[in-house]
Amino acid sequence: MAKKDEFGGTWWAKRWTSALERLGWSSRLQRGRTYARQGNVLEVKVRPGRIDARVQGSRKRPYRITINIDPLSDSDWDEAASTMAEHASFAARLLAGEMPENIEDAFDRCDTPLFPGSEQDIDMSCTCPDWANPCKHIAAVFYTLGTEFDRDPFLLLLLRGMSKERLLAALREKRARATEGNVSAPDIEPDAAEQLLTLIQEAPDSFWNGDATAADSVQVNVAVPETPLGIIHRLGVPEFWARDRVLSNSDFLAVMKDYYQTVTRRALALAYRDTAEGKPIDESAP
Amino acid sequence: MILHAAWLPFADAAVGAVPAASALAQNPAAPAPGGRLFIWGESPERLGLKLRGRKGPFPGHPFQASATELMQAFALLVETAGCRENRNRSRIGSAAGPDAVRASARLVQRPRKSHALMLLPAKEGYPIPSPALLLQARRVLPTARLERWTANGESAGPLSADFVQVTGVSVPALDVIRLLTVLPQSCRDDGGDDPSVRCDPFGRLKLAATPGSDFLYWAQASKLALELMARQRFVPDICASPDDSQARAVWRPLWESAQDVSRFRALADAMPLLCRAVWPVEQSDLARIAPSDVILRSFIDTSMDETIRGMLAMERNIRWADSIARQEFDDAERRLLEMAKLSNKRPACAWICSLNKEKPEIRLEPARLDSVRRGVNDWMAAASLCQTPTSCVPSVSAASGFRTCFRLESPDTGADSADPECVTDSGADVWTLHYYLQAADDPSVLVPAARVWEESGGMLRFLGRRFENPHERLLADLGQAARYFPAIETSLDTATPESCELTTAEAYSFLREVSPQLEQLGLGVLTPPWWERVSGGTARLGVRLKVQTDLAQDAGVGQANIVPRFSLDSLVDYDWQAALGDEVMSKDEFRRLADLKVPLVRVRGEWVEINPGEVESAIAFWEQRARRRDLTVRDVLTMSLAGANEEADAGAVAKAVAIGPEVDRRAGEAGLPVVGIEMDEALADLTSRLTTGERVEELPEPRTFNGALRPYQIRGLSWLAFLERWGLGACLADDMGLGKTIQLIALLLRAKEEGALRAPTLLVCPTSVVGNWHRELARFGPSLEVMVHHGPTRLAADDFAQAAAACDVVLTTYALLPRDEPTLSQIRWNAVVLDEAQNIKNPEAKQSRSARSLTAGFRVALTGTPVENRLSELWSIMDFLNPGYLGSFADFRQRYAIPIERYRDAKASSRLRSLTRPFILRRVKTDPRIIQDLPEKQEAKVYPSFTREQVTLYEAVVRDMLARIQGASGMERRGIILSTLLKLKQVCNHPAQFLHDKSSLDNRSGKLTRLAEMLEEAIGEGDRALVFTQFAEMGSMLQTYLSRTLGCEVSFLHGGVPQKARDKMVQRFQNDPSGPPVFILSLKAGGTGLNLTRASYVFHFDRWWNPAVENQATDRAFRIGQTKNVHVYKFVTAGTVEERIDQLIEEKKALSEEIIGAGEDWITEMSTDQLRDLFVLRRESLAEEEEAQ
Repeated sequence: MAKKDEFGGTWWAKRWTSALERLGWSSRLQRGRTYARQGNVLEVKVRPGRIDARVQGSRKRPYRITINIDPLSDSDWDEAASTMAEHASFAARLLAGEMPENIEDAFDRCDTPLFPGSEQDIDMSCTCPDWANPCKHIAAVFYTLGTEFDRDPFLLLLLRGMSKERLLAALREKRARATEGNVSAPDIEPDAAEQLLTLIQEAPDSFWNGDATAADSVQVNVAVPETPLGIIHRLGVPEFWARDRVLSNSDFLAVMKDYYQTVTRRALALAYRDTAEGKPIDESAP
Repeated sequence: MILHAAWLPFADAAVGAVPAASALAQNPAAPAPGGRLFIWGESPERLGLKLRGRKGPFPGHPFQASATELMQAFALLVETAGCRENRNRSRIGSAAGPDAVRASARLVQRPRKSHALMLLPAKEGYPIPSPALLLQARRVLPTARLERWTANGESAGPLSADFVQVTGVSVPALDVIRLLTVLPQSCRDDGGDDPSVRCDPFGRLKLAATPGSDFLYWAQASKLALELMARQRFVPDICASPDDSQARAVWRPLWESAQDVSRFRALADAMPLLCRAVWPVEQSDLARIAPSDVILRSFIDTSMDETIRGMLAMERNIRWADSIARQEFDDAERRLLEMAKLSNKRPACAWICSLNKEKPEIRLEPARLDSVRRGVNDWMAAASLCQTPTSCVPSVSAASGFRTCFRLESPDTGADSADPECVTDSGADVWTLHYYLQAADDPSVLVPAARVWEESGGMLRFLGRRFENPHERLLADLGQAARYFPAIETSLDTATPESCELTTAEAYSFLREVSPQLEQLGLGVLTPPWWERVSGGTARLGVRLKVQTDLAQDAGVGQANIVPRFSLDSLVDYDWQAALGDEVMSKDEFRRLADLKVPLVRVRGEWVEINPGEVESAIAFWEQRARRRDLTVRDVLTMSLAGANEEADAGAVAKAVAIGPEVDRRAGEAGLPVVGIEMDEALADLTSRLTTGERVEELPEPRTFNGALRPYQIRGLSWLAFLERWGLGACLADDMGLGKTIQLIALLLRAKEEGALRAPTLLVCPTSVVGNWHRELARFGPSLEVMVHHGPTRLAADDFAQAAAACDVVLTTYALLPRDEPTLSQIRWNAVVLDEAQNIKNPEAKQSRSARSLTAGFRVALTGTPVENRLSELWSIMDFLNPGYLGSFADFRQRYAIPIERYRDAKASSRLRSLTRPFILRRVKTDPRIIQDLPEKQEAKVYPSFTREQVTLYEAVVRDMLARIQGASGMERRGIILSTLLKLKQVCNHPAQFLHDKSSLDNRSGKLTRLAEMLEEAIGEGDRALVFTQFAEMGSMLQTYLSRTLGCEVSFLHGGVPQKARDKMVQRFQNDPSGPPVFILSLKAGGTGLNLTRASYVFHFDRWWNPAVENQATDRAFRIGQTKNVHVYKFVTAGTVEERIDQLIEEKKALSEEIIGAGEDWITEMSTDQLRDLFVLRRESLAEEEEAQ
C-alpha cells in the first residue's frame, strides 16, 4: 500500500483525516501518525457520539482514551435522511460499501456538518501524563479511525449518531412514503443519465469497448496452486467443529481436501478442454 | 448480429433488503452472491429498416435482435463450448446411472427470455448503434440504407442518454463460466467473412453473432474466476439467502495475493459502461450506474460460488452413480453420508454438506445456524483472510517496527561430503528451525528467541535498538505461523520455545510451501544459502543425451553436390546420462536417487531437490527407448529447438490432472528435463544453422535464371536450398511483392543445373494463378519443362505418369488435389510446392489431407499471410512440410493452440515460435534490409484464369462478332468491333457485369477472386490499396463484394459523387486510422489530381491500354509524400484479348507509341484475320471449374 494512503485510501477516510488536520493540530497529529503505524492502537470502539480506545504507550498498562463528538440531532438526521431518500444512489452506494461522494450535500440543510468543523465539536481525554491535548495517543486513534472508516463507511455515520440499520430503515420508509399512490412509470434517476452522458462525452468509445486493450492484457494462467491445499492447512479445523466430540477433525479435513482437489481438477479440465469438432468434454472422466 | 452482455446482480444482492433482526445479518463487505448474465443483441438488418415511432416511458430498442435470433446465437455459443442444451430441464440424478450423469456435465440450461432496462447513448430519441454494428451493417446492407448513421455516428443532433427496454436472454453464472471460457482471448481484431472459419464452431458463431467488446469482457472475467478456482483461491462461508428466510452455504473468493488484486482492479477499470448500464425492469428506482468494481465483484463472487458448487455436485453425482453401480462406497462418500445423517442434529454438518449442492439453502431454522455462522466468522478472522479485492489486509505484524523471523539450518554435512561419489541418504537427518525477532528496517538485526525470553520487562534492548513487548510479539507470531506449519505447534508446548526440529521431508515442505506463506504474512524467513540455487533451477537434475547420426561419414557437410537426404524420421544412435547441473552422474548413482524416498538429497555433498517418481520414470523411459533404439532426428531437433524447459507446460498439467493421478507420470513422460544434448558434427551443424538462420552460406545465382535476383532473394534461395539438402520442409512467407515465385523458380533451376532433378516437381496453386505461374516459369526459367495438369483435357493414369516423367514441373490446382489424388500420388515427386499455402489452412479439409498424402523428397509452402498467428493453419502447413513434427493435431491443440488462443500463454507461444522459426522465412517490405534492395515502384502483371462460365460467354461473343463482321464495313464494322471489345472486357471482369443482371458475384470471375486474395494479403499487412476500374458498374460490384469478403469498409469514388463527399473520402482514406483500407476509383473520376499516398498498393482491375493514363492513375499513390515502396499490379486475363493486346503493346511500345496512345481505335483498322487472332480465346489456359466449397 502506498504510504500516503496508509490510513484509509478511500476518499471519505481521507476527508476525515483532512478535516482533523484542518483543525490546526497538524504537528501534534503528526506524532500520532507514527504511533498508529506501529500498531500501538490496541482497540477502538465506536458508539454514537463517542469513541473508546486503548493505546499502548510507554507504560506497561495501555492508556484509555475517550473522545466525544456531538452526534447530530434527530431532526438533523431526519432532514439528512429525507435528502438521501430522494436519491436511491445514496443507499445503493452505502450498501455496496462505499460512501457517496456527495454525502455531505445531504447534510447541507442540517445545523451540524457531517465532518467535525471546529474544535468545540470534539471533547477528548487520555489517561496519559502528557499535558498536550490532543496527545499523540489521541492522534493515533484518529488516524486508526481512518482505516476503520475505510473498512466500513457506516462507522462514520454511527459516530455521528445513526446506526446503519436505522438509517437504511428510515430511507426505505421515506422512499415508500414518497412513491405511495404514485404507480406511474418508474422515476428516472436523473443522475444515471447525466452520469452516462458525461462519461460518453469524455470518451465516446469507452461506453462500448471500455479499455479493451487493458482487459485483453490481463494475463490469466489457469494452473495448479503453488501450494496445493495450502488454504486448508492454514485454516485448519474451525473451533466449533473441533469442540464437538462427535465430529472428527480428520473427517472435516478429508472432506475439505476432497472439495478443493475436485475443484482444481475440474477447473483445469474445463479450462483446457478441446472443443474442436467431435471432441467430447472429458471433464467428467473419472 | 452483435452480441452484447451485461451483468444483472440480483436486486436483493445489489441494493439489498436490509436483513432485519435476523441472526444472519449480512456483512456489507460480503453480500450474498447472486445474479445473471443478460445477453442481448443488435441486428444489422433491423438497423437498415425505417425507425418507427416510439411510445411509452421505456420504448423498446428499435434494432435489437429478437429472442428467437438470440436463442439461435446462444445455441451456437453452446456448440462452440462443446456443450449441449438441456431442453427438458429435468435434473439428472445419480440414479440415472454413471454414463448419464457423466454426459450431463455437458448440459447447459436453456436460457430464459427476459427484459431489462438499459441506458444507451441516443440521438433524436433513438439509441445509436454500436461501432461494431455499424461496421457489420456496412458489410450486409447497401450504403444508401445506412446514410443516417455514416461516419462514426457524426450525424446531426446532440447526444443524449435514454432508457430503452431491451429483450434478451438470462444465463445463470454456472453456465456463463462453461460457455465463455472457451472463447479466444483476442478475437476482437480479426473481423472478416473468411469461408474457412465456417468449419469451426467459433467461426460459425462469429458469422452469426459477433461478440462485442462488452461480451468478450465477461469471457475475460470468467477466465480470471476459473483461474481463482483452479488455484484454490476461495473459502467456504455461510450467509443469508437473498430473501433472508434461510441460511445458505457459499464459497467466496479470496483476495490475498497482490497479483490477483491488481488484476481485479485492472479488469474493473477496463469494464465498458455497457456491461453495467442495466436495470431489471421490475426495479422501481433507477439508481446510479453501479461502479464497475461492484459489478465485477458480484460477477466473480456469483460465478465462483455457483461453479464450485456445480463442480462438487457433479463430482458427487458421478461418484455416487458409480458406487451404486458397483454396490460399494469409498471412504470419502461414507464420510459425507455420515455427515448428512447428522445434519439434523448438527448444523455444522448441514453446512458442510450444503457446500456441494446446487441448491445451497440449509433447511434448518436460521437461529440454529447462528453458532455455525459465528464459528465460521471466527475461523476466517483467525486466519486473517482477505475477502475483498478492494482493501487487501496487510500482514500481521508489519505495522510494528519488528517481526518474528525463522531461520532453517540444514544438518551438519561434515563427514559425508568428503566422499564425492556418494548419494547420501538424508532420510534420517535432523534439521533445525530457529526463532528470532528481526528489525523490520534492517533484516540483519536478529535477536535469538533465547535472548527474548531472558528479558523480564516490556522492553528489550539489543544492538542499540528497542523492541517493545517482545514476548507478546514473538508468541503471537509463533501462534500464527503454527497454523501453517504444525511442527512449530509442538515446540509451543515448552515454556520458552527457541527452535524446533524437522525431518528432511518437513524441511522440504517448509522451504517449498510454508515459507512463501509466512512471508506473505509479513514474517521473516531465512533459508539456507544453497536453497536459492536449488529452487532457482540452476542445480537441476536432468538427462544429457549424446547423439550420433550415420551421416557424418558418408555425407560431407561442406560438399554441396552430395545430397545427404534424410528425413526427420531417420533414427539416430544415442546414449544418455544423468546430470546434475553441468556435472554428469553415473547411472548407479542415479538409480540410488530413485530408491531414496525423500525430496531433498545430498549428491556429492550438494543438496538437490528431487522427485523420486520422476527419477524412476526417467530411468524407465530412457531404458525402454534404448532397447527400441527409437530416437529420431525429429526428437533431437524438437528437444534442442524447444529448449530444455519442456516440463512446465500448462496443457500437459491440465491433461494429467484431468485424467487422474495414475496417468500423471506418463504425461510427464521422461519426468526429468533434457538439460543438454551433445551432437555429432552433422547434426550440430544442422541445428545451429537452423536456430541462427543467418549462417546459411550464400549460393550464386543459377546460370539459367533469366533475370536478376535481388540480394534478399539470393538469401531466400540459399535458405531453401539448405533445407532442401536436409530434406526439411520450408515455408517461404515473404510479403506479397517480394518475389516468392522467382525464388522458387531459381531453386528449381539450380537443382536442374546440378542434375539433381531426378523426378518432376509438383506445383499446386489456386486456379486463379495457374496462368500467372505458367507465364512466370516461361519467363524466368525457360529451360524448365512445364506441364499444366488442369482443365478437361488433362491426362490421367499412365499417360500422366509418362508425360510427367519428361517434365521438370507439373502445375496443378488445389481443386484437383483430392479429385486426381490417384493420378498424382503414383509419382514420387522431387518436391511438392504449395503456392498460397493458406489453402490448406483447415487441417481436416480434403485438399489438406491430399496434400499431406503426396510423397516427396522435399516440401515447400509459399504464403504471404503471417502463418505464425493462425494456429491451426500453422499446424496444417507444418504438418505438410515436416510430417509429425508438431505432433498430432489433438496434441498440438492441447499443448499450444488452447493455451495460446484462450489464455495467451506466453510460455507456450515462445516455445512454439522457437520450434517453428527455423522452417519459416518471412521478410516484410518494411524491413530496412529489404527496402534498400527494392525499387520504389514495382510493377507486375497478374494473369487470372477464366471460369467455365466466362469461357462460354467469351466464346459466344467472339462467334457473334465474326458472324456479323462478314458483311459489314465502314462505321458499322467499327461499331461492331468496339462493342465486341467492350463486351469482352466485361466478360473478363465479371459475367455479372456483362449480363447486367445483378446476379451473385461469388466464384464466377477469376479476376475478382484473385483481386480479393491479393487485397486480403495487402490489408492483412496493414497496408491500404487503390483499385482502378473504368466501369462504374464494376466499381460498385467491387465495393459490395470486397467489403463483404474482406470484412472492412471499402470506399468508391466515381463521377456521380459530389465534390464535398469526394474530399471527405480522400481525407478519411489518407488520415483516418479507422478509415477504409481499400479505395476503389473510377479511372476517369479518380485518375488525376488526387493525393492518395496512404496507399502502397495499386491495382488496375481492367486496362485502358494507355500507359500514360495508367501511370497517371498509379501516381495518385506514387508521388511526393509517399514513404513506402509502391506495388502496382495490372490485371490481364490469361489467354484473352486482354493478354493479346498487352503483348502487342509491349512489343510495339517503342515503335508506335503515338498509335497506341490514341486509345482503341487502331484495333478497328485490323483485318478480320488479325481480329480473329486477337480475340479468339487461347484454350491452353482454360480453367477447371472450382469445386464447390
